[in-house]
Order: sequence, then structure tokens, then C-alpha cells
Amino acid sequence: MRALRLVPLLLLLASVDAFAAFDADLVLVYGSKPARLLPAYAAAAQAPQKGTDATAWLPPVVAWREGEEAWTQALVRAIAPKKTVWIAPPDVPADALEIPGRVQRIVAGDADLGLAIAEAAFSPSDKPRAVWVSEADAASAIAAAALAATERSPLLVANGSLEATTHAAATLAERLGAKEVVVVGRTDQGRLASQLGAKVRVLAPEDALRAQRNAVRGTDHLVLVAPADAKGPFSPPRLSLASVPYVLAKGAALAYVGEGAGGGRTPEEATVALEAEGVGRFDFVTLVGDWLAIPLREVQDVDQVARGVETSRVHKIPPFVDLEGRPSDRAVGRLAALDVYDLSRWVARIVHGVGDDADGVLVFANAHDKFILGETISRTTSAELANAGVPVRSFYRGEITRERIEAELPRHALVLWEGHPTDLTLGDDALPAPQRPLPPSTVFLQGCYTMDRADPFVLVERGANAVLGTYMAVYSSSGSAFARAYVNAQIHGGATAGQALASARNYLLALVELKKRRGFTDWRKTLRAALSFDLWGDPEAQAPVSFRRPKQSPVTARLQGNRLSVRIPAGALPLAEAGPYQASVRPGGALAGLYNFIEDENGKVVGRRLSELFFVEVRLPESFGDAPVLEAPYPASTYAWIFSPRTRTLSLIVHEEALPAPGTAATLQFTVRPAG
Amino acid sequence: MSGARLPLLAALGVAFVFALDQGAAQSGERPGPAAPKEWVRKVRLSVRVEGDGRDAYLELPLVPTDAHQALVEESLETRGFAVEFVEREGNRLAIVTHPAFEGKKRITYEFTVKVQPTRVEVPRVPVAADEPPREDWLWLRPTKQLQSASPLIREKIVSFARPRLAAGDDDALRIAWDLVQTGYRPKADGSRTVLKATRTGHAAPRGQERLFATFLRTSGVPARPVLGIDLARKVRTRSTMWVEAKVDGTWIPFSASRGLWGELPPRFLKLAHGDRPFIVREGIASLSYRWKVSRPEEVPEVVEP
Repeated sequence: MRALRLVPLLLLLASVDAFAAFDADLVLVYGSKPARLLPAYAAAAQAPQKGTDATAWLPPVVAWREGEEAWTQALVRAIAPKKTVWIAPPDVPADALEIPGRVQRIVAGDADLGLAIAEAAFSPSDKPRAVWVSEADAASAIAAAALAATERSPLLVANGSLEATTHAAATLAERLGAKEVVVVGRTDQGRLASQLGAKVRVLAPEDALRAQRNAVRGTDHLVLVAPADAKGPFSPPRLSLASVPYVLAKGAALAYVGEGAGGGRTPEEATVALEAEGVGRFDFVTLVGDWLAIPLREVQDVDQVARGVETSRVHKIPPFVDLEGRPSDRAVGRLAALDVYDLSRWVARIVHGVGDDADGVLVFANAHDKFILGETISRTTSAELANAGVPVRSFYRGEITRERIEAELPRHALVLWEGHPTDLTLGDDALPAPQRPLPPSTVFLQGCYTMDRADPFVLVERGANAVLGTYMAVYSSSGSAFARAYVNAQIHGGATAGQALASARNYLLALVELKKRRGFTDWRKTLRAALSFDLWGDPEAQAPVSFRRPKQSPVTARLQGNRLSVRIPAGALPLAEAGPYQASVRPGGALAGLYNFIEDENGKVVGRRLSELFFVEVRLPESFGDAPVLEAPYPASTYAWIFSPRTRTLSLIVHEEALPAPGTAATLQFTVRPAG
Repeated sequence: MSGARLPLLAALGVAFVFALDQGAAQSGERPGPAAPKEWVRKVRLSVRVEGDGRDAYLELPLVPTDAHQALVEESLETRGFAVEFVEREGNRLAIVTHPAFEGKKRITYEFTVKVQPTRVEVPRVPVAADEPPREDWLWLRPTKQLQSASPLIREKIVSFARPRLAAGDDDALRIAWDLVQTGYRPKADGSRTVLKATRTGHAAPRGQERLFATFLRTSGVPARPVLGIDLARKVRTRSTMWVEAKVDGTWIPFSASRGLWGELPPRFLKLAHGDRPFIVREGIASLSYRWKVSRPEEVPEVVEP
């Protein structure tokens, strides 16, 4: 009987022109119900482009609803589609969005929409291998969508009874000539098969995930998703649903974390467990979910605890960072947005490079006129970028006004904000981000608690592609030094966003070791800064601006045998001055809150000169073991290192006191040997 | 156009509110004779605007008529500004514009209103888990000041509600109300925005109202702040805020900062609702305003159409 009820719908759909697997530039889906959104992913999937890691190619699939029109419209304008597929229930006004080009409208109630999507996208000539069916829960549906899209087969997600949906799938399979119906869920295979009289295979959600990972064996990218964020009261954001096109585009392995289907696993536990099973070696890890779905670890302030503060503050820290200061050895990013609508647009921007063109760097530093030391370092970062041929507009202190922020923010591909976060706020909780969309920029919010605010969500909503910031208080010198190290890793190391984050973190961790060697007792403040920074964005993303070969040569390092040479060039960047501070640094060089007093001829202190530091990273062969030791003919207080056995990266920091004289060119020689 | 009078709209509005009033009385939702009597007041709003040569644009809210209040008469003197009357999202607005506006001008909005006490039996509303109906989304979505989708807000209400939900108490209105009453320290100069209040743990009255509306939206209950004036205050700044929540198709007033649960005294007069500034302005160098409230000598008779 159920099959008979579907006949009118099938006849209706047969009269609709079918694009082969949604041969479209854009798919717009109203709402975020799994039964609507996930079949759209499967229906939009095409064979991956050659030379990519992707397991399927999808046009941008964007979820939207009331309240999202402005930003959705901006994305539609940027994509400028020639062919769009519109998926919506009947009561959604067709003119809610202005869509150029040809529009194929798939309009049906929730009971029929999944089938309507499949029918519109697939025909017998496509010869799909199977028709996939999923239970309504997100854990089953996400895995099923990833598998169905990978093999370019249709997917139906149960909107009510799984049996009824499976019946519909069997009818569809027969019409399309598919060999089987694959059901993802916890149901009885034998009973379903006998009811349907068709070939049915049932996969438990965890088996479906395993199958997905088998399909991408060898990938170095793991995507961790929390399907629990798709259900329950209090406006669940459903970010997990929008992970599917990202997973497919990256050719990444998929695993669940958090409550429910995630088994309560943390990102670290899930990653290590999969690697222990031999599933992969994951150098890139992307978390899809906010900190409610994928919680951040909370720790007591390492500095306050050491100082014996009775009620020390509790901070969130990003995943894969170590409280003891062990090196960062994975490129990690988080895709967190206010809801699935914002995330679906963000994924479209990440995967398809969609967005208004913008170039150059915008630097806002020290708007409060309080962080002079940080401003000094920031000025050298601007100079570093300019040395790499990047147009830079830098503003300091009183030059930073709300009007200027609103005018400049949308024009730049990399925005570096250095200072107290309230400077950026409107009222006290939102950026004065202009009402117009932002380009797909990277926004580095270098200040205290910048990720604990509305700012990153607002930036992502309006078009930013990456936001970096902190979950705790950081001193301006450490924070600006971190930002400088991040930029250096991209300019001189070609690092992706996640790699640059790890490199900058390792810079501060090496600085901690150097401070210990120099007898500074405040090293925990630097450690706190090293623990605090996080990336919201794709860890594989390349730098948002193009760099040219630096006009002045940078600091470099080379390993030959067991000899590590660090070459310090003669030419420095322009002298940076702010208040009593000044800094002269070679390209690729580093800075921190270490300085000497400048005295006049009478011995009176007239300024402070930041000590120049040099930070390099090299890969060591296995022969050096897991705890290599460095030796050099320089005082022990002039250099320090950390080493990651996992990546075999040696991160070395050298103080200018190792040079024959400050500011001179030199090639510093180190000997590397295994421990013992 | 230097001014506009809106007697017809006012008369229609009054007729509408009388009809509503009668229906409510019959359903037994109104208090009996012991309730406070209605207030009748004449109100003048003077807005001083200074331009700097840009095209000036103002959205001035005009008094609505509803179950709580009836507009008797009104007039708007715009003195050289062009004016257009529109209705947006249930608000009556005067759109006041002036090309290349320079210098200073005063806009005067005068009206007479009858305001009566409102008291409503508040039904139980379960926390919603499904997608809301499309027509409610306008009052459910996160906005600049009502950041209902923020993880910080969701974290706050989820942790507060978890034991209550486990105990079978899923009344969204009560959960949101109790969270604002017990989870935040009222402080006159406390945080006015919901995220800062949630971080600091203290909230100004306006912050309390926004928190209540925000938590309701997070819980799937359509809610909106109401911008109004306190007719009883003897100060120049009478602007105030409370909240309306939509329950079974009816907007019910609440004020978390005043402890008003389903009730609104006649001293509070509504001007507009939604997450918006009192006067939306663009191309204006500066703007200030003041209220004057007086008892009218005589209130014009209202005639049913």
C-alpha cells in the first residue's frame, strides 16, 4: 500500500527535468532537518576532481532560513550561480532570495522531500550502486550521507518510520536499477529483507563510520564531529550536519566525539585510539562543533597555581595542547559557528574559495594605548609582512576608531588585531563589524579571552574564513610575539593555518625553556600564553595573502649530518619604536618581552631595546632518537629547544647574546646528538 | 511635509482594543474591580536633531494600540523633515528623512493614551525540541542583543535546566524566569548585555530583561523586548524595557527586573518591540530627546465605527 501511495509522487517527479546528480553551481536547502539536508549532500555529489584528496565533489550546499537571508544572499552573489537547485517545503516563498540564472525547484512536504530530492538527482542512466537509508538520528545519517555521497548514490533519511522509508528506498532502487538498499541504523536486517523482498544490508552507525574510514585509508586528516549537537532542546546548533561536505572535500576520515554517539570521547582520545588501531596518522585534525558539543578542557591558571593564589582562575584550553609544555605536534582547527546555517556557508567558502576578493593585511595594535611593548613587536610584524611584498595598512592607538574599523575590516584578507578585546566591541559584546559582508579573511584577535566572546561568531557569520584568538589572559609581549611567530611560519615556512598555529605555540614553548635557562621565574606566564591560542578554521588552509620572496633575506636553518647551522643575515627590518621601546629584528627573527635598558652617555636610562631572538624548526632523522640534545660553543643561557618525537621537529630558539655582537650577521653552529 | 495627524488610525486602534478588552473580560483573564484603574495621560516627546550635511534618516516609533493601551489621539510635527508612516514587524513607525541635513531641528510627537493594568494567567509552555514554525522565527532568532544561539547562553540554560528536565519540569517560561532570578545578581550599574552578564554574573535591569528574552528564544518560546516609557517616573529619562512572550498565539508581558509575571501596571506604556534602538538613526550628527507627561484636561470621546 505504501508503495502505491508513492505512485502519484513518482509520476510527478518523472516529469521534472533531472540534472545528473544535481549538475548545479549551488544547492540551497531551507531549514536544517537531517531528512532534508543530508539527502541533498548525497544528491549533489559528483566524482572528485583529479589531483585532489576529495572523495566527492559537491557544489556549495547552503542551508538557510529566515534571519539568514542577508548573509546567504551575499554568498549567492559571490557564487553567481548559473544553475541552482532550490530545496524547500511548499510554504517557503520562492522569492525569499534573489537567485540569478536557472533555478530548479524541488518543493515538497517533509514526508516526501527526501524522495523528491533523490528522484530529481538520479535516473536509471546514473546506475547508482545502492540506495542508502538512514535512521533519523544524526549519527547514522551523517555517516550514511558521507558514504552515499562517496559512491554517488541517493540517500533517504527516515522522517518517521524507518520501515516506511526503507520501503520507499526499495521502490526507488528498483526504478533506478540499484543493486541493494543499505540501511544505516540499528534494525533487524532479516526482518527488513523479508518485508521488502529486496536485497537489504544493514550497517550499524559505527560500522558505517568504519566503512567511511576504509574508503579514505591513508588520509592524514581526521574530522571529529559531535552528532549530539543535532538533537535536544535549547536550540541545538546542528553543526555536525554541515560537516559532511567538508569531510568529502578533504577526503578526511570521520569519527565521533562528545556525548551520545561520541561515547564521551575527547578529541585526543578519539584520535589516539584510531591511530592505535592503525587507521591513520593524523597530522591535521578538524573539530566540527562548539565547546558545548566538543568541550574544551578546563584547567586552573598555571601561573596563579604556582604562585599559590588561593582561588586561581579556571581557563579553557584548546585540544592537543599539553600543560607541561610538550611540543604541539598536530595542525588542529575547529569549525564552530552559531548554527548550521552559518557553518554551511563557512564550509562552502572553505571548500570552494568563495568570497569577495580582498588582499593585503590590516593591523590594528594597541588601541587602548596600554600595550606599548606589544605594539613594538606588532610594528615589526607589519614590517615583516611588507618585506614579503604584502600591502600592509597599520594603525595604532588613537588612529583606531570605530569608523576606521568598520571601513577597513571588509577590505583585507588578513586582519591582525592586537590589544584588549573591548576595543573591538560595540556595547560590550560584538564587533563593530560592518553590516556588509566580510571577505573570506583570517582575523587574528590577539588579546585576552578573545575567543570567549561573540566576536568570532560574528566574524564567521559575516564571511571570515578563520579566526585565531585566546581563551585566557595573555600578556601583550607574549601575545604579540605569538602573532609574529604565526606570521613568520606562513611567510618563511609556507605553513598552513594549523601548522602555523603549532609552530607559533612551539615558539612560545621554546621561549619557556629559554627563560628557564636564563633564570627568569615568570616563565609560566609565557606557558599560559602558549596554551591559550586556538584556531577556528580549516587547519589545512593556506595563508590568506600571497607572499613574494622577501626583499631582505630571512633567518634560515640547515641540518647537515649532525651539524645544525643557523644563518643570521645582516640586513634588519626597519627599526620599530613605540614609547620607550625599540626593536631591530632580522626577517624571520623573533621577539618577546626580553629587553635591555638603553642608557645615555651619563648612564641615564633613556629607553628599552628588545632582545633579538631567532627561532628555527628542522626535521630530525630517526637516528637522533626521541630526546635529542643540542650542544654549541655558546653560553647555555643563549639557546634552548624542544623536540616532538611524533613529527620529529626540533624547535630551536637562540638569544642574540650567542652572536659575536648584537645586530651582526653570523652563522651559528649547533651539534645535535641523541640523548645518553 | 511639516506634520501629520493620525486621528483615524487612533480611532480604529481604540475600537480594536475595546473589542480585545471585552473578549478578555469574558474569558475571565482580567482582574475584577479591585484592579488599579486605568491611566490617561498626555505625552510629549521632543527630539532634538543635529545634522552635519549628510542625508538624515530617523525611525521614530509611534504608540501602538493593544490590549494594554489605547491611543486616543496623536500628532507629529516634523518641521521640514519628510515623513512616511509604515508598519514593520508589528511596530508603527514614522520614517523621517531630510536630504543633506544641516543645523538643528526639533521633532515633536504628542499623543494621548489610555493605559490599563494587564494581568494574564500564564500557561505552561514546554521547552521546544523541534524546528519552530516559520511564522515564529522572527521572534526566535538570535539578534545583536539577544544572542540566543551563543554557546555561552546555551551552556548556561542547559546546565540550569538539566536537573529540572530530569525531574519532569519542562516549563520553558519558568525555567528561563528562575534562571534570570537566581543565576544573576541584580545590580543597577551591572551588565546590560547578555554575554557580559553571563560572564560577570551580574545584570542591570535592562540586562535582566534581555536575558529573559534571550533564554526564552533559546528555549523555543517567541520573545521580544518591549521599548516603552514609565509614565510615573519624575525624571526626564523615562525609557524602560520589559519583555513579551508569545504563548498560544498571545503576547504576554513579563518584567524580570521588576518581578512582573504575566502582568503590566498601567504606568508602563509600550512604544515598540524587538531588538532595536528606540530611535533608529543614520546620517545624524547628534540626537537627544526628552519626555513630558501630563494629565489631560479632557479626553476626546471614542466612537465605535
